Amino acid sequence: MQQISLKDDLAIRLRRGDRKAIPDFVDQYGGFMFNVCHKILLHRAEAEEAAQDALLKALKAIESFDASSSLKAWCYTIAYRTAIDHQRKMKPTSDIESLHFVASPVKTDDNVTTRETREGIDRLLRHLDEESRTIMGLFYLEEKNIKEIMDITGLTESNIKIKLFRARKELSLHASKYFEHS
Amino acid sequence: MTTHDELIWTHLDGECSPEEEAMFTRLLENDRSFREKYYTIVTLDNQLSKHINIPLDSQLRDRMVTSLLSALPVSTATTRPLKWVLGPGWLAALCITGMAALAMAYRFGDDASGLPFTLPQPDPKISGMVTLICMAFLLLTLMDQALKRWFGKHKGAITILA
Repeated sequence: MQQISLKDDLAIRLRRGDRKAIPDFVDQYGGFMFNVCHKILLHRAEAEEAAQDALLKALKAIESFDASSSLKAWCYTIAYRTAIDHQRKMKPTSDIESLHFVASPVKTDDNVTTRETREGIDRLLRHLDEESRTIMGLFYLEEKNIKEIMDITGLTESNIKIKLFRARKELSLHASKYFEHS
Repeated sequence: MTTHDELIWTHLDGECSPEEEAMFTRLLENDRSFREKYYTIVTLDNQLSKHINIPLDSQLRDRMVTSLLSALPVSTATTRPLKWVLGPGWLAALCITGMAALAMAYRFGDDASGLPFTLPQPDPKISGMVTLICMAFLLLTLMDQALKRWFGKHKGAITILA
């Protein structure tokens, strides 16, 4: 209940043009929108750009947000569409992505391992289509809460479960190869 | 018919029925290929749980905030000068002052006894109209504030009129 009032409060503050609400908006939805974009684009730099673009679109269109619906679902739709638009404009740049990874200033072993694992997962996720990747991303982002994914995507429970199962099956087919290599 | 993959994922999601759970345990104990598949899927599930979502680092967060703040025009604080001039507080004060002046004019009109100056006796038609307008503005101001407080999205009756 408190969550709902916080969400409403944030939407109202953004509507009023309260600039102090912007950091709160980014803290609450920036990471989520970035992850949605990343699952579609599988390219960090592009996902960052798309997420910034999506946040800006959301902010500019906040007047059209229906306060009775979920702000998170609304942000998801904007992030998803923006990422798809970016994908259309994107050139195939898998080499650039790996260069970005090598050129990263992060040096510690833990971070390198994390990044390598994350890169491996991204490679694995390339076997899925955008929608399945997004559903998978949401599933783990929302801590396997199907109800939350239903609210965000508007899909039915059975639809989500079918898509999720297909995606997991596809991933587990390739996972053994991936784990052998890593 | 549940496939091995389906059974393992259902088990990991904690959604197995007692029969499925028994079947899962039996297969894990007796079937080597099932066991291998299970370990692959468990590893995959753990890796996905840990790494599929990338946390927003502080640099990216700051870049997002800065780009949003710079992209938003300062005037997003919507037509403040007009609101300030015709703000509800000002209008309410003006209406109250107007009505007080009318009341004084009625009370002391053409009567020099109570005041150091003489007030003209107001025309009943004009004063009636002024009172009505003042009342209407007061009512609108109250409605404006109430609607803003309750619905947020509403721009306010005064803003619409202005």
